[in-house]
Amino acid sequence: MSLLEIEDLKVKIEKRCLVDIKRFSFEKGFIYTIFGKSGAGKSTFLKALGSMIKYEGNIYLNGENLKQKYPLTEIRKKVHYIRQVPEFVPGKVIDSLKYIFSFKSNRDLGFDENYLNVLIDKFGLDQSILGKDIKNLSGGEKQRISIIRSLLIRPEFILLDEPTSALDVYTEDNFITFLNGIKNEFGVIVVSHSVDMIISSDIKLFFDKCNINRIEEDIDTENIRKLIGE
Amino acid sequence: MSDSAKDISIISMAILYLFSGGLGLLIHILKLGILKDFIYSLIRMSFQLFLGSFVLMYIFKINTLWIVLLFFTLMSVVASRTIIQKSKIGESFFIYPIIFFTSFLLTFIFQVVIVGTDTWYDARYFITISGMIMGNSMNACAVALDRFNNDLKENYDLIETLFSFGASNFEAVSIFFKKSLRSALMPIITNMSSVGIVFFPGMMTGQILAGSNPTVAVKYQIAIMITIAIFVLISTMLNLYFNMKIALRKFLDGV
Repeated sequence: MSLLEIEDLKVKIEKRCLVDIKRFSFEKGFIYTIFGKSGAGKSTFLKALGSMIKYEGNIYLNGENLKQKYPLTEIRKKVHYIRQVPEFVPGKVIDSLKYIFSFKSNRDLGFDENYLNVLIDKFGLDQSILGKDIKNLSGGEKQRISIIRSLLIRPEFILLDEPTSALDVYTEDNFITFLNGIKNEFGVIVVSHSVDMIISSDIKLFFDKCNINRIEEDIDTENIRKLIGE
Repeated sequence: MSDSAKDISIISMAILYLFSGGLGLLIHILKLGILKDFIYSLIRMSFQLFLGSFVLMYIFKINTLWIVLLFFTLMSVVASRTIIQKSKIGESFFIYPIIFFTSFLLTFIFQVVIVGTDTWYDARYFITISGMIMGNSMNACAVALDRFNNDLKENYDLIETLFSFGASNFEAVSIFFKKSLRSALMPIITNMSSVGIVFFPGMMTGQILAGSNPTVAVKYQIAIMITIAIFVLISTMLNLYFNMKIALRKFLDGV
């Protein structure tokens, strides 16, 4: 059981406090969705959780204080932040995926071709996509390849920043189904303003006044819209 | 190895400035809008070169270690400042020592190992060779730095992505690092392939005019071109490296 805990987490940008959370824990096996008004600091919180920006306080993974125990290059893979718009090293899909494994910190991990094939099937993609040029992929394909790339480094938690904002409703439903399929293998924390995404998640967290508050599970669409301010 | 190049008389120089006047007139008639720049640059060139010739004559005459070092330091500061201005980079203090030490080391090797002069700091060689090395590589260094910083800005999202996959600082920007280094080296590599056919470089022409055997002039030319290529590679690499350290500080201090 993977457990991600935060303790006195604070993020300040230009002296303005964007995140100030006393204590919270995330467990593997659930989809957590964080929502809130735009500009409230949701993405900043997610980036801090993924050690992509400076933060005060502590983050523990399975009881280990990440900052004290591991170098940054390792932490960022264990609790792995995934951007809203995926970015790739230009070239063929397969080469772009392999590029990640040229990093020193990923050498021991090794590029697992069998696992890649499993993931490609799981995502409903065709093997031929590996030979395509990144720039010829559709938005939905890029999104899925981006998640596959992240799963290849075997993170404990994936942090998804607005993962469905560029997808149409149909693809979004597929994506949510997919997240449900992997949530027992990887911890899943999502920041989203998509009502569908929020409704279908297991644990709904409202981000307000620098803090996250758990919302009752059976909240309806209308009340979510009210909270977001739409 | 006979006599040195024939002097150009005062009258001939006057004719040349008269020609420059004609050029200025043409620029004015054609309304090119660069007349002021032309006049300013012409005056600066004449002033700097004549002053330079007096300074060089003085330094060659004295030829002590301290005067050579002093003048060399001044040259490296000016070269560094030119790179900083052209590349428009922010924090740039690291450029001064890099340019100073790399050009010093290479000029030293050139003079002691390749040419083998009696005194290692002989001004006639040390000042002119180091001047050629720095002068011919300032542009390459500046272009590489400028390109690198632009690439880092434009590809912030990709760099962030690579960091999230466990890239070290260098790994996250190595694509752009190599690209900039290539852009710095390409012009000198292209020059190498066309030298002797399309153009005769100033140093070689000068030596031949001054009465050197063309074979000697050619050997010097080859030596200087290789030295410049090495200088461009080393100094640009170091400049890019320290520039990267500063540019990525926020990622570095991420936690």
